[in-house]
Amino acid sequence: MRAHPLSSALLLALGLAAASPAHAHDYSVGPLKIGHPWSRATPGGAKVAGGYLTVTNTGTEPERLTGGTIEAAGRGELHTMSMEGGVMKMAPLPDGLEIAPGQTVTLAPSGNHLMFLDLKTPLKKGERVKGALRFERAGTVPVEFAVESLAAKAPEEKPAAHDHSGHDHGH
Amino acid sequence: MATDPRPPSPAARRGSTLILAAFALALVGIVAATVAFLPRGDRPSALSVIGGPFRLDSSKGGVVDSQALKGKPFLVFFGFTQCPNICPTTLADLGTLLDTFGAEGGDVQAYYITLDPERDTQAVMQEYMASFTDRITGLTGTPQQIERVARDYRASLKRVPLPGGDYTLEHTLMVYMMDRNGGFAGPLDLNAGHALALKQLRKLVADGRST
Repeated sequence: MRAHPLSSALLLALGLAAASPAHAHDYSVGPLKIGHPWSRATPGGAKVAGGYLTVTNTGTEPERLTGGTIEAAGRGELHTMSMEGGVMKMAPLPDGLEIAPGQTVTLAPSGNHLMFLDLKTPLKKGERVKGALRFERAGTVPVEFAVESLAAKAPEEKPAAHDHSGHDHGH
Repeated sequence: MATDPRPPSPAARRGSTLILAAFALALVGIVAATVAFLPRGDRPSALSVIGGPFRLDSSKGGVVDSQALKGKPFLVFFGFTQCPNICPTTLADLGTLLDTFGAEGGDVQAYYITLDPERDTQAVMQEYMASFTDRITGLTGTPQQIERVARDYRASLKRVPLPGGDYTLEHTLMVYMMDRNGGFAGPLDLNAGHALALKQLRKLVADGRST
């Protein structure tokens, strides 16, 4: 009895995917470069998660990130977070984020981010979850979010030397 | 071109006097507000401006009564389970810190009080807190109980509506260090690295032990 060629290919693909779960991954869509979309493992019963990434507009026309979500969530919204006098401030960004030509927009835990709501299944460390980003011009762009550890304040492969999480450098 | 070093101009001096006066006024305001908040029946100590007694539902079942914590320093912080960014990372970070402190023989318990008691029931808290060290206990209660404890700890809280009819909460992120008498001993600084935070915990545990 021989193994079906397709199934061995599938096993190989699964093995490869499992071997490199936390590696940086990037996407190019027209003039847009999307850098390492990631999220964080969720605590038991959690209904929300955050989504983080970078987008660079290498084109000559302004673009606008208007939202994004993952399949495991009911919906996603763009939010902004800031610290003011020890208080965490949150606000939705209903108009999205403009990405001027040559500009990079960063979504990160300590600032602008995607908030995934109505989570149906927990996110587990090491997995990749399917999702999509919405742009004004580029439309819907499918991406995968790498799930980092529950404690992750930044994607894992970034060097930990610059540990100023929680501080706003005001650039 | 040597000019004599001159004393501050009258205008500058008036400026600093004004600043001093503003500080004095602010201080008077703080003291006045503190005094105004104080008389509330069962408040035992007039000195404990931040903090106060609580009796809340535990994520480990049953209730936690702050009276039972007498003689042991503890940590308190506020959050809610539908908080995507800082709450879970703070819980994970603090958990690692407390486990490290535990490994060197230190025993400090932390209490994570939800500011969203309507959604964060005891069952929700139980499931959520199981993802973190058992040195952190989740607490919930009635909206009135939560309002009371947040007020006692001077935790700021604001409900922010989201487009879908949902809401999120803006709140104080400080981790309160409470001494063995239930008095506020200062904020625990998790951002400056665990070495410093461990020093803070050791001092918290050592303080008042000899008395």
